[in-house]
Amino acid sequence: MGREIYPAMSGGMRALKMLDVLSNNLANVNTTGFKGDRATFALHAPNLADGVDPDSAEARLAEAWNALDGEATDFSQGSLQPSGSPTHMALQGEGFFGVKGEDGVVRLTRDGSFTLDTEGYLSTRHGERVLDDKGDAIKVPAGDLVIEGSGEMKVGDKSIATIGVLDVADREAISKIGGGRWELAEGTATIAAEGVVVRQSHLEGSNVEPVRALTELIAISRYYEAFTKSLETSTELDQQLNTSVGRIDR
Amino acid sequence: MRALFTAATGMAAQQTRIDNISNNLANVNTTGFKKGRAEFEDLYYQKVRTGGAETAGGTRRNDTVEIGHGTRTAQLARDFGQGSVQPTSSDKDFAIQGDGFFVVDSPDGEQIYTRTGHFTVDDQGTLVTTSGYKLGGGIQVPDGAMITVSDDGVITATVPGEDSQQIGQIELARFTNPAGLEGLGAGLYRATEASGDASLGTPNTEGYGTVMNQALEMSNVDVAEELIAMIMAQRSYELTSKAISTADEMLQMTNQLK
Repeated sequence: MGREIYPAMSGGMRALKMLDVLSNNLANVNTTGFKGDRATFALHAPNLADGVDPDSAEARLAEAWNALDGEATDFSQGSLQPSGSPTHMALQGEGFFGVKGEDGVVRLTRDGSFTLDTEGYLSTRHGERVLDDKGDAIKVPAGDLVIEGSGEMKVGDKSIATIGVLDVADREAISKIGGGRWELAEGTATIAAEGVVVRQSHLEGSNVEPVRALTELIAISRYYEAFTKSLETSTELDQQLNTSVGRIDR
Repeated sequence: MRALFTAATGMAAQQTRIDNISNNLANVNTTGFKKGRAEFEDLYYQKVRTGGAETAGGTRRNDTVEIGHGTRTAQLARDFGQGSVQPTSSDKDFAIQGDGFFVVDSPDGEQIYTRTGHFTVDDQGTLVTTSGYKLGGGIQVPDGAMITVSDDGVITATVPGEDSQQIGQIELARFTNPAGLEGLGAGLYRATEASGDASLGTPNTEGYGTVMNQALEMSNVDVAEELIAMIMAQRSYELTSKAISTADEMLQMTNQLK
């Protein structure tokens, strides 16, 4: 068997990984504040042991492998839907809400379906408190809550806090942990996001576009088919080889 | 083939959504009914590679590779938005306009909260809900009396031919997080740790709603909204099932390899 089957196998594996990532997007087509992912790949850099000739067959084979390299998250805006609750909010523009759990760790989220906890602090359904622009938890007194586009929260005429809208300099430094949240890589500092509008009583829908996802689904399927075809072709060639080589025509 | 299971969680989520929509639609004419809304969140991610790993070149990568596992129902939140108030002919029908719940006592003495203001008089002459729960600790209505209630919850009874008399005061309960209340069915709710304790107050003060009688609060379900949500749920279900059939096709291709 020729070694061409290995790159074909690697391509097929790649299609399977793409499908895994796409399925997660599709499953979250109704998840508040969800941002779709796309799998990215890179040629596998051969981790050659000392003394292996980089021009050898072994090295070249290794190079032909496609390895899952990362997933790029599409941070584009999701559509805003009215929700009816005064403590719900959506962000319009690039940035995140900052939330802090009992462990004191700040995480980021785009899911603004907040409620008040038993002590009256604005919090997520996981019990993490939402942070204001100074990094403190926000206690909401009784009364009619109004949130301005700037994120300023008022009860009656009294201003109580301004919602903190955070971002990071490098989006590679944040990773999803489920529940609509991203965690910051160690040592990553948050910065204040600019030009973001806060919409009260709205929630941001998932940014997964069904039409695009369906098209990708078809593409992945065809892609996989192509690799299986190349495997089959390789098998056929092997068969021809086996039947024709060594035969002595008279 | 993680995709099969991942997509299945999406289908399960849409099913939950349809269940919730059906319940809302079934209660479109239920007095004081508050619609539910299914909220979803993404499941945990599998870290294929954690940031900070060393590469062959001796440098460190700062990005993380993670693959999601689908979605799950995060919450079936109740939307306590105001329902429309409709006039009725019964003087013992109350409606709250604004925030607040009626406080009623269950037969075993527990405080229960409700927005359903359809009350009657039991054989003892006490004002009770249809399930027999006493309003405001037990308000006695004199025989044959017509009752009226002021904006601030004072109940006055008038027996024809006699002076009207004040027979009770309605207090309303508010919660820091009403979405955390436990629904008991029949429009009744119980306070939980998530909702916080009830803070009682007089109607028409400090953000408590006003009370009116000869009126009932209708369901806050918006039929058009629910039907649109239903179409969306159905299409999303279809979409996610496509991922499953694609995964299946790919497996089939694999099995047919020679």
